[in-house]
Amino acid sequence: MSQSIIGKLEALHPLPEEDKKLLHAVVGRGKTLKAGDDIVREGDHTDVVHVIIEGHGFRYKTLPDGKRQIIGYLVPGDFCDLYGFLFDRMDHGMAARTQCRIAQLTEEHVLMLTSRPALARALWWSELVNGSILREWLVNMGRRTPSARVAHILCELLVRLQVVGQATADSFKLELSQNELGDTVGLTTVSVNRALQRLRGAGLISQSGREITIPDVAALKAFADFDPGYLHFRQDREERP
Amino acid sequence: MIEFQPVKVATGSADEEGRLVFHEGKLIAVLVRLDDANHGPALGQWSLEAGFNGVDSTKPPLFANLAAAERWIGRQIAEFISV
Repeated sequence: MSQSIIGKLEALHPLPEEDKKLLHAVVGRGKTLKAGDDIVREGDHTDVVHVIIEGHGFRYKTLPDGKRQIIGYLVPGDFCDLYGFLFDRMDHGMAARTQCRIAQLTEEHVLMLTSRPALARALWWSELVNGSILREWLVNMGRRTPSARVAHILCELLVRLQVVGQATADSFKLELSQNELGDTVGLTTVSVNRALQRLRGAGLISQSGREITIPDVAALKAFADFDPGYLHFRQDREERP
Repeated sequence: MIEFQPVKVATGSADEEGRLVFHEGKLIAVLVRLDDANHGPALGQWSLEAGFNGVDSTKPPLFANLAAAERWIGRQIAEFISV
């Protein structure tokens, strides 16, 4: 059950065996959410920290006219709202995109985890990386062409899903509609559709149902201007000169 | 007074059939008909590709026909508050 969470944290910082056991005990089986359910609603208070054990979700904000901006993806192993119990109200919502299994940790659990130096550092890393991803998304939305924006998102998902064993070297299951991709990168569904078509036309991706295959990962990364450095995974840090 | 002028638009897809939309003789929007099979249920509808001076939206609706597009563009012009 806790495998994805350990996988994600260990990709950022090594954990001793006892820390993994503690995580495993604290995470438990979690609760199941249906696709479309809110993990935490925008404006609500939460007493617990939610962690994705299985399934995919996203962070979003809703505008007064009903438009939605997706501001982050949640994949297995991700902490949705670490320390979120400090907020009176959540400044954004989190929703399950697919059926999800979600662990709920209390403040006491979090204190137990952060009292262990390696776990504390892993959790600091994970929060730093959340900020880093948001910065990269801001650049993506403001400064890349529609097809490069979409390509960048696909590269990020490939790498993040690989870390938790949910993607092969060159393929993964895209759990997002074109409308949701549009809400992520600030494009209309029509533009996302054309962007995906361009990527397919150029041979950078191929799609079969929800399955995305990237025949030449380096080529897609180059096209998208994707440098995984902002994800700060150890493997990438250690490979850099 | 809104007028349409047929135009071919390079979208890199089968969506070519377009209209330049003029308001009082000035270009205010560009529409394209979604003819590419990839659009699925949106096929045949008109999409706002560009809009000027208030005829803009980060998420414009699709239009079943040009009359619907004209109504929406007319509303955008009427509601536009110049800042």
